[in-house]
Amino acid sequence: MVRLQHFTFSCDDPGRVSEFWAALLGYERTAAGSSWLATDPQGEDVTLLFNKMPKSQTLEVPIHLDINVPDREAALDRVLQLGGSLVVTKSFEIGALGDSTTIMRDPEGNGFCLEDPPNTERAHIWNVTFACAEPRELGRFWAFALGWLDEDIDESIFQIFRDAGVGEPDISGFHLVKAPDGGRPRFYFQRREKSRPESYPMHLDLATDDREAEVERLVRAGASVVETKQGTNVTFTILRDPEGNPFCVG
Amino acid sequence: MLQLRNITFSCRDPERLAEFWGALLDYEVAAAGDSWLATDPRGEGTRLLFNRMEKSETIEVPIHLDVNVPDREMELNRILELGGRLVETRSDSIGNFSETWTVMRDPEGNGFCIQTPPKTQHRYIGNVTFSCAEPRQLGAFWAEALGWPEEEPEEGFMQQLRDAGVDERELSGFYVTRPPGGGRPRFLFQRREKSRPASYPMHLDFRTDDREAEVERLERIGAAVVETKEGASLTFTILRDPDGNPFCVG
Repeated sequence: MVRLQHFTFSCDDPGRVSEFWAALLGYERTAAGSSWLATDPQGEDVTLLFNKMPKSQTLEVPIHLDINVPDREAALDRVLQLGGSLVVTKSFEIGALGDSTTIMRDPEGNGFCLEDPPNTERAHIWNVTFACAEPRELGRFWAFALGWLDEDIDESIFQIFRDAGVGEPDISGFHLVKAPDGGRPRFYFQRREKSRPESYPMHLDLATDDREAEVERLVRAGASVVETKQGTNVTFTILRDPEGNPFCVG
Repeated sequence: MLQLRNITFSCRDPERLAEFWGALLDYEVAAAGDSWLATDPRGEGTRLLFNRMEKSETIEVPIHLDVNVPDREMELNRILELGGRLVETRSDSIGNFSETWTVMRDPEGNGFCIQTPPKTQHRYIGNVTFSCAEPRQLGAFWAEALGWPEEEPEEGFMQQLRDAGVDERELSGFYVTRPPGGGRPRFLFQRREKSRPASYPMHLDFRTDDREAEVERLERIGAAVVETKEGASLTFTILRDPDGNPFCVG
């Protein structure tokens, strides 16, 4: 099995981007060579790693973070003050269901979403979201990789969709997986294609006790190996998931 | 120069789809060999052509129609009765600016949007919309191909977006070109990548007085020729625009 170790950003200026994210999430920042780490002082949420690395300039990429905040409007202003920028506030409505999300960018253009569901006490990373062609298939790959479970969607939600006139394939247009202990973040898969840049500005780093066996297991499940590299203190393998999203196992 | 002749749908059941779109747009439908045509009795709107043809099953494609209607809510229900399906009703807001539209699918899954701009008296195709990585580049290709001017956004509107904290890069996220004199439909280009299926379910057919010279001109500005075919009554060339969207010139 693999464990989620970091959510990693390729940055022009790791110091600057890590400052932004640490301030947004209330994380603590530490330098690690030319990289920066931002960790949750409460030990609950995923660690962010900021590497100085080349990346494609594409704006619309297939992976982003969804951040839950106590007050979306207040968070929007705060993100602007911290040097982020606004894309749009987007609301959707399907029959009786509705929701609003504000899409923003960090100082290097990485897109993320802000939402404020009830009872959110502090800012935290709620979803790692994958925009993909086949949410269920890709979701199952990641559940298998991490030993996570599908999150059951309440049947009443599908009924609301059907009553409102939603048909297949839109009803099966999303999928959720999460750790068995219900910890954060969830992985959320939605049917929404994006460009697939050569060098992703964000990727997942996964840890394992037996890299070679794990790589073999993931390849059998549909991943493909890009290359194996020798890092400063760890050997790691770069892979792509069945829809081409890069991730590292080390 | 090119003139838009048809918006063409590849269908499993051309008659069924022609009936749906005919009823949706108040067009008249008629068989034409194996194909069906839907024509605007007012002589204003672009003709729709429905061919029985193979298509990829992908549902997120880079081209769709925006239909303007006098009353969006009422129209949503009418379209469900006609056999269409709902995806969602979306609102986007940026600062004080906001707009609302409903995303729907026709009986074969082709996505389209309905919206109600002020003073909409009857149903008509407002936009042919292209989802792409670089709207200004792709838009400039089509403006030159068609000999249409760019419809520039008002500076006040752009300033409103900037004041709301919108990233400069988002300001190049859309482009509009329309026939001189305010004709319809407009071509709208938005930064929103989609999958690029092998066989598009929709494409545009253009007429020209000198096909060979026109194809040569289009190649010079960035189009690629796929093949030239001998149709029942005319010779036509299939091309792809710089983003790979297919279209025909005959």
